[in-house]
Amino acid sequence: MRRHARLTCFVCSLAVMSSAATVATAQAPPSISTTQPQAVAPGGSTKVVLRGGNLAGASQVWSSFPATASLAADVENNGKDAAASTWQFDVPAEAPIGVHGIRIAGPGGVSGLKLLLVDDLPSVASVAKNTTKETAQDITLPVAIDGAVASLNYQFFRFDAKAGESVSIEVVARRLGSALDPFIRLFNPQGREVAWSDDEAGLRGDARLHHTFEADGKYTLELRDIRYQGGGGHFYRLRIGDFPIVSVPYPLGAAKGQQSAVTFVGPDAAAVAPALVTLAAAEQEQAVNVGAKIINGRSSALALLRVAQSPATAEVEPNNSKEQATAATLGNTLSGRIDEPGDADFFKVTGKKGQKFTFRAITRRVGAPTSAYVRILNKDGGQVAAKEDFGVGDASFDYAFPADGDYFVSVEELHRRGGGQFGYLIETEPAAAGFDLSVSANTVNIGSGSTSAVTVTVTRRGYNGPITVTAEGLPEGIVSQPTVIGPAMKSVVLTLTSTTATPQSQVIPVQVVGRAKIGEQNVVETASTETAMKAGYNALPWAPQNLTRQVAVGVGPQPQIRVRPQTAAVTVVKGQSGTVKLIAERAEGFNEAITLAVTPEANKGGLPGNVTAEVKPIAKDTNEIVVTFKATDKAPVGTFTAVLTATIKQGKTTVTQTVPGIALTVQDPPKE
Amino acid sequence: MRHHGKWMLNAILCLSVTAFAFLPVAAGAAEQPSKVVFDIEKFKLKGPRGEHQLVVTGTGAKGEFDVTHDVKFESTNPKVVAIDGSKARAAGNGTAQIKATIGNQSAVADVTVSSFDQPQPVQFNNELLAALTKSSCNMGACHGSPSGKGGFRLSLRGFDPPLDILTLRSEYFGRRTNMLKPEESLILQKALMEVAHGGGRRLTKGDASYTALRNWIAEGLRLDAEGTPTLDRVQVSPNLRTLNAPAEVQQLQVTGYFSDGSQRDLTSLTVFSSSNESVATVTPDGLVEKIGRGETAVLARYLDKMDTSYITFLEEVPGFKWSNPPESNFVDTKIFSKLKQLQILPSDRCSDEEFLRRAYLDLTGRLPRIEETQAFLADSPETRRTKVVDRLLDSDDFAEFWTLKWSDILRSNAKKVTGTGVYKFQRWIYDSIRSDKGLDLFAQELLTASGSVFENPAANYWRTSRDPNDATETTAQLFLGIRIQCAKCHNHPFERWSQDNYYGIAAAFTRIGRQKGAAPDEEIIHVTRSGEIKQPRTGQTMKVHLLLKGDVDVPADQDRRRVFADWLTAADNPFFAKASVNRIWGHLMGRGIVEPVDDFRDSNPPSNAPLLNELTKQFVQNGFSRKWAIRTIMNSRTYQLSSKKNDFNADDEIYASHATTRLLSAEQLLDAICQVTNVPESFKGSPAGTRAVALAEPPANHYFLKVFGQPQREMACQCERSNESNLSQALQMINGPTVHNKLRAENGRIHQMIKAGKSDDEIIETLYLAALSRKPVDAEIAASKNHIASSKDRTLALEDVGWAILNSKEFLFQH
Repeated sequence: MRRHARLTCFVCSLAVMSSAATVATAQAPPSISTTQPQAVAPGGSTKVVLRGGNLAGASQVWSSFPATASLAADVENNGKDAAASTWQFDVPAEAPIGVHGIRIAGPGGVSGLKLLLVDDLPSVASVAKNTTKETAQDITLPVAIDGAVASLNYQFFRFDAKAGESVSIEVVARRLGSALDPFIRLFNPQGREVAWSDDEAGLRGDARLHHTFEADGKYTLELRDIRYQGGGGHFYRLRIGDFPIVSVPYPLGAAKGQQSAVTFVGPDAAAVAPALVTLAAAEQEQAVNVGAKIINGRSSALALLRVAQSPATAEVEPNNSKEQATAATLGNTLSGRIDEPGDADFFKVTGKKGQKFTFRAITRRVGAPTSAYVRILNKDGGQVAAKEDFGVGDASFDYAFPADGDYFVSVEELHRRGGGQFGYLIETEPAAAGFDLSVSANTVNIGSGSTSAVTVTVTRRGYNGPITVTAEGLPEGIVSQPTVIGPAMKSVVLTLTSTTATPQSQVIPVQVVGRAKIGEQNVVETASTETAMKAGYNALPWAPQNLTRQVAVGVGPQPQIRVRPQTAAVTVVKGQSGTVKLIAERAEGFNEAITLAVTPEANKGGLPGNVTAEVKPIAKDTNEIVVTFKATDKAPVGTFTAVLTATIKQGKTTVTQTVPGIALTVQDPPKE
Repeated sequence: MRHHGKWMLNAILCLSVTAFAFLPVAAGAAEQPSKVVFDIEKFKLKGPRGEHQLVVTGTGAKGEFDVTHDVKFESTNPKVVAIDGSKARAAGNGTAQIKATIGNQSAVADVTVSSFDQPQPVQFNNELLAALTKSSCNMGACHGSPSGKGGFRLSLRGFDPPLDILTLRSEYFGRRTNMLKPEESLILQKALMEVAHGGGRRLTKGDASYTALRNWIAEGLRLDAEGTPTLDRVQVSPNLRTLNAPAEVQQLQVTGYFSDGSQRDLTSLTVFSSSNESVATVTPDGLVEKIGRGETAVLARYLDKMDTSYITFLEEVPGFKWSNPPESNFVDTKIFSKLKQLQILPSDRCSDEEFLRRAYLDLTGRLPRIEETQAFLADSPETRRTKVVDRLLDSDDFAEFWTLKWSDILRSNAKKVTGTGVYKFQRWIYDSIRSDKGLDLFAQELLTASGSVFENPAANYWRTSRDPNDATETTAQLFLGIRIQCAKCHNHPFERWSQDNYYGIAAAFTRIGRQKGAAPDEEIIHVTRSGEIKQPRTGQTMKVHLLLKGDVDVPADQDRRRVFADWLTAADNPFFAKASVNRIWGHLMGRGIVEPVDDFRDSNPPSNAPLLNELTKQFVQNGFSRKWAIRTIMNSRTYQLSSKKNDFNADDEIYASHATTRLLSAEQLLDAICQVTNVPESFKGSPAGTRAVALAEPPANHYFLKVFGQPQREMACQCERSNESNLSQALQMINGPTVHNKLRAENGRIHQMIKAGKSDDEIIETLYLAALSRKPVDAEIAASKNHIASSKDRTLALEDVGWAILNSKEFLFQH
């Protein structure tokens, strides 16, 4: 069977908005709180009800999977209700099974990312009266039920099963960003519990079980939150089918730009069809979805495949000692599996004196249950470095080889577990100077003709110089101000400005990219959205690895004030000052004073050290003010970006707007 | 609030609990023996201070009895061995015999004396410290306290000889001792009260302790020569003795065995104590003196070594005749054998109704429902008891209730394992109990748990036990049945456990890492490859120690906990199975065979050692099955005995001659009130209808549960669950809102039955069946109906009937 991995993001828009012109322009950005169902079917058409806010007038639904989405034509007044609208998704058969994301765009801008499954199980909605065993909801397998659990409540589902028949049951909740901590119990026809599951390793707190029925009859499944908590945020998709009990393939990763074969081995030992996966050469994401089916199966398991960052060296068993170590090359990704409890895998690498490499285990973030324990041994077997997974962190460390010679990389499971799902990747790369970027939000809504901001945070690795940050993929009419994370600075605010000509009601996917010249290397890094995503799904330890690189930009209505610098740059000589004039444009009736503030505050990274800004309000009924930047003799030399926010309180209305970033250059005084 | 207190249905208050105490017996005259023997017929005395406590046993019509202090001793050669009371003392090198004569019976012991002409200095470690212990100078309340007393500090019970050397020999420039005039040493003068001494008189001139101290000073405060043998063990003789009235005493003798293979009498410096002073006391010289009928364990302690002598005093009980009750299984065989020996007559078998209520409360924590009672009573009388035990053991209610017991002592509370953790841990325990996971596997999984505490909730064991000391004490108490806490700071004063033992166990738990988990309240437990623990007194890095087995070396890449867990749960482990099955016995019988159930020690002997041994053996053979043990005990006649006592077991509280009545636990009682009134309790965060016994953790601020002793799960000790009665409990039952509101609830049983038009008879019978699992007797019906008839308000009167039933002992107690 051939499977297609997602190569790029797909934007499929069918703007059927005859009534768009009637929508009020002051509308806030739309939001999606729930979808019903929580999945779309590959190779078919699925109607999905989106519920949330400000949905009226929405003209486009964007998806991270290949699909076309249009307002369902057969729903009365569809698209006019701010709280709900129904969209029809036409999804090609090759759309990868797994967790994806959608957004909706409307006159108010673009919504945040809502996680949605592509799933080959048919969907049904849970019914309200299924809260007792006696009133369990009758279902027919295979099926997936979408619902939410109320506080102090249970949900029950009843189905027929035959003796000898096997079934896999899983709750996709945490993986969809739900607050539900799912717990399931299966009861036989006599009402006796025969199986249960709470937190299944590798599923981020979700539950899953596999059961073979002993007798014909009606079985009942109970679903609840383990702590009996509930509410609208405790939604779930309960999948019941013949899918295998796997969450990762083997090997865990595949290279870009080529076709790779992966297999699946789960604890149920089901015969799972291998898959061929082709990753695009330009793939930016950390992982892609790959579904896994048993041979002739009807439903797929949800699995993630890591996008390998370097060529792979697969372990060759037996490699349980340094004498049996698999030969590997530093710079490659070491790939293997802890086949059984207590197993240890050894790789032999050749190090050169002075070489410094980074070793980074990839396991849990892609769904493997493995807690990696990675050690470096010298040629005599003496341990010279070691690290284990911790919290949400990977076993990651740098090691400088003290001498030429053979070294061994040993990989163990920290808790001495093992099995078909206990795969790992150990990425090795020269520990060169560099940096990683992270954005504070993965959704940016800009008012027409105005400016919005996103904070970009840098993790520096041996490089303290400037990093130029831009948003890439912007259409005409939206610009990102030249922005620099100045020397030694830890973050910067990137500002995006639209013109009134920019089209509205559209999701604009962009990437935030940082560039720096480090030594002779031009280093380019794409900012991660993981931190921003986790802030939105605080029960989710790792953001979906296939959705971590993209920021969506939307354009909403024009705000009541706009403030811009007369000049986009200012130079300040150490010990002196420089000025920038800010110009305000006001909507009619917004004549109060406009306060201004450096963002973030100057002493919290808003300005480089020993640089201050004198910021006064733009007085009532006036439209200009001069901001003065002062640098002391101790100020760092370089180019930075300074951002201010403008706030007006007019009556009961408060409006805050970002001022486009100002390039702030600090110079030494001219030599006499 | 309406007050119920004026009216009582006296007929339903039928139980009483009487404190156990055997009455002292009149001393009887010693019988003339038909045979006498020395307990030790051949011994050696070495050195000029050689001595030996003689013990002579006579045999008569009523078995063996002690005649040590009745016989006349004679030495065949007083120049070799002299007689001093009941002691033989060396007098010169050579051999001799000692003859013991009483009436026309005599016995002979052979004695060899050697090294009489060799100096025999007092040994500091083996004798001087023992003398300080015997005289109580170094006990915790005196100079053995951490700060000492009056500026004079000794190590507690001589467990730190280097400290005592410093204190006794050189501190304060040696002012406490006077080698030239040893009798004028301050240490002796104070202990003799020749100089004021806050601790009173501790020595008498000429006694063994005084002599040892005086001689050690006179000999120049000498330390032990290199190679001085160390004491390996002590043995008390006789080890086991049953004495029939009129026998009233038993002399004990203690032999020490040393590292060089030598042995010698240590009786005079041994400390003796009786485990049951209502049965017998013991003099400093080791003479056990009867107080009453029963058993006691006499602990003989010499420095850190100890041995136990089990002494039983029997006497004829007038009118006693063994009733030959039928035996259901080996439990009865062992119990009845003991009862017959002690002349305690077991109670009759309890009624079916009593059994049913008892079985439900013990297995499920709740009362039988009316329909369950009716179905049980309609079932075959021959098989219904065993069938209901099987059915309940297979029920979820059983798993729920027994999960509570383990959740308590595994300290599953939100403070320790987080709010999410308590639910996941509860579920893991529940599944273990429901599936009858062998207790060996249960313990292994807890002790070796690693990984996420959410994905593998057994790892919460290490979330609650956050350091090696806590883990040591918790593990010892839960799985070894040993309270080893004392040995953290000093060798256990009354038990064999030393600091080395304590920190040796702790060494198994030193390599445990804890990390933040992926979820905010999650923790990851993992095994590390480094980490050691030192014995604080010696500074020695400890190896993993397995009690009574020794130290083991565990390779760095192995889990030390696994080694410990494998030893713990091995079939031949002397602690685990015994402690486990004793705990189960305690849950069912209201008192452990060893009580407290987690306090096994030489000085706290089992009430029926053969039973405990056999239960342990078969428990292991049956895969450490909790359900097997419960089924075996509950199917015994012993378990099914009535709580009503007879004239011959009225004083017995330890030998299981009758069922032990006990107040329902806090959760049982609240659930029972809910069940009788048909008004469930609401607990915040739990679905409607959740029983109190099924809560994941004790609810915050539930006054009723707190008053009735619900533990907060702060301790691994079963004792945290209070079973003490108090005034607040009485007030809660008599006039508290819980009982009151449930009785008068519109949706409650009484009001609903009134609304349904039920007669007084129907309502009264229903209440009795719901609360007591039986129908009311005529007198109870009459009393109830009289009260209703005399009341102006029928509803109020029926609530009164319900109130009276809920306040009856028969309801409040398990019986």
